[in-house]
Amino acid sequence: MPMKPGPKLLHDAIHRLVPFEDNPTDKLLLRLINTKEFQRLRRIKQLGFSETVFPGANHTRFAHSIGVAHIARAFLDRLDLMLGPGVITNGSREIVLAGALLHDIGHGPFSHAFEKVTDQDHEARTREIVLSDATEVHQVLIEYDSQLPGRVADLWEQDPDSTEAHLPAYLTHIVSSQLDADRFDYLLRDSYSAGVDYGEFDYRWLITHLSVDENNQRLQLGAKALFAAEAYIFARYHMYRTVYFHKTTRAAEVMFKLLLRYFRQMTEHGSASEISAVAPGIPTNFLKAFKQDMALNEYLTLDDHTVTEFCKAASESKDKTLADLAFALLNRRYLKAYDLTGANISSFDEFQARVRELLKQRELPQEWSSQIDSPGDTPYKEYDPDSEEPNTQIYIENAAGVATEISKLSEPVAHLKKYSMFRFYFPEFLREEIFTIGNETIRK
Amino acid sequence: MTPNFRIVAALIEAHPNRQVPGRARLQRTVCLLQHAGMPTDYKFSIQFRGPYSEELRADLSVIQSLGLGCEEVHVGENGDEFFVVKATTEAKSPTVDRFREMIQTLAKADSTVLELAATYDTLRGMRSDHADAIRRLRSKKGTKCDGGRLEAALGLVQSLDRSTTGIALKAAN
Repeated sequence: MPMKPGPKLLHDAIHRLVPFEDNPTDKLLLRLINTKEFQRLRRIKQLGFSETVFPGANHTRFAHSIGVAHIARAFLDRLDLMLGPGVITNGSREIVLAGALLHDIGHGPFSHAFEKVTDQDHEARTREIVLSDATEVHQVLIEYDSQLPGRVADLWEQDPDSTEAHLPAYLTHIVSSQLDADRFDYLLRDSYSAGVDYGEFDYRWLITHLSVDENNQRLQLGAKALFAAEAYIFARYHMYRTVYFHKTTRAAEVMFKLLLRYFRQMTEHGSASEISAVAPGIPTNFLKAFKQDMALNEYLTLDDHTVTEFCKAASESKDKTLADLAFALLNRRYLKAYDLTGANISSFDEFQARVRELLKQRELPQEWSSQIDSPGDTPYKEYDPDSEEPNTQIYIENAAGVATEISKLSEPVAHLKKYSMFRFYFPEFLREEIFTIGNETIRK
Repeated sequence: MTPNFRIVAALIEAHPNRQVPGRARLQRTVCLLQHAGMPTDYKFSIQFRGPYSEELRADLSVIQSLGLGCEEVHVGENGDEFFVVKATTEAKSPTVDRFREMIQTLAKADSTVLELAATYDTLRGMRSDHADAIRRLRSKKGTKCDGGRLEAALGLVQSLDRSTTGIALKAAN
């Protein structure tokens, strides 16, 4: 009797073994992984410039996406157990798993900084990759089920409360909510790769205590999961404060945006041949990234390597500002940060005016040599009917077995508020003058 | 370059009574004005209730810490709490002068109409043509599009287009 084929196994730094069984759903996932659009994610780092501070943080969106699908599968397996067989239909399972696997497929290189300057939008590109019949991803999905591309695209877009939603809201929350597979994987993976422990939490315990509030169509956790859920929320808070918003990583992002803005301005005022004369060797696909009508097949040629090649070419440019910015970015000569926390509007205005004067004296273009940066985050969003996403909170059973929003049960979570960093970035050789100005205005 | 938070503080200050009734309303207003040429560079993604930028939400903390504004909790007629975002007189800035007419128009708009308009405008910016944006809007928003609200939203986008700021917007059709 022929033996049943064993699962295909992927080794993964976080989940150790990620199995793909000999069943239609797992075969679909494997086929999606093997598409050229998904393989492109091997060439896009998950954390962009973070590796310049945390040298190990050079993992890719490829590994993360597989991790998200793996965790989404664990969510579904748990819900199958709780709800009984057949409640989560095969069709629904494929939509959730394909959605989890493909959720980052439209990301470009150094996504957030890149998108702010180029008019590219990874959410729009993700949708396009799934829906365009020119992509391998679309072909794989449509061969499986003609409805699947549309359903996967709707998973990210449709309001789960909509009467037209194809899935129960609790299934869409596996892919997008404050307790979703994406956050689980990125916290664990980013933390591990960065070499910090802040992002760790007991995700297996959380999944083991997951169930569904069928009346409200949402995920909920058992009472014993309260502390694990707190740890999960604080993991996110600490990762943002220590890794994602690290002042040096932000310096790199600030400089990257300055470089792209400056280059964009050149593209708006000069033809391709004029730019080529000033900065030979700029990849042609990179030039097109500044046009909103960049074709999908051209967009899919962009990756981290394109950005590196652009920086190399720009650093040799005859245009001094372009060359200086690119050289500094390539060689980690980043702007330095002055912390503006504690400023009031009059001290801030005085600080800015004196800095402006200083830059003028030194004949430095203010627009390209300094920058205010104010990244911020909300570690946990309590229920707020005025919010854009009011129904994605974390619910936990209280002592009486009633599902309760976590901030009503946990004082530490209730005290976590939205916050911002507030920094001024400037060239290192002005350190002494900037700190003097800061001490005489902000800190006086 | 004027920092984003400074422009947003000035925008709030330019509203009637120097206040915007609702965080979501502020998000939609900033989104529409940014598309109309206001020099902020927030990255908006489409959430369940319209375009949303975490950076904008964070900038409200900066506005508050600088003393340019604050958020107050109010209770609506239905008993739900909502945040009123207020600006101080110090937030006033000529940066938003050329958008004052638009701000007044948006301040008068019904909240659902504003949500539809901002979502439509964001979809157009995300490579959807008019027909696709309308189809996606109807699919996402369902009955919110009924009762003339969708038409009002498109009218609102067009009215921004026709405003006297001299800023060219993409046509709604």
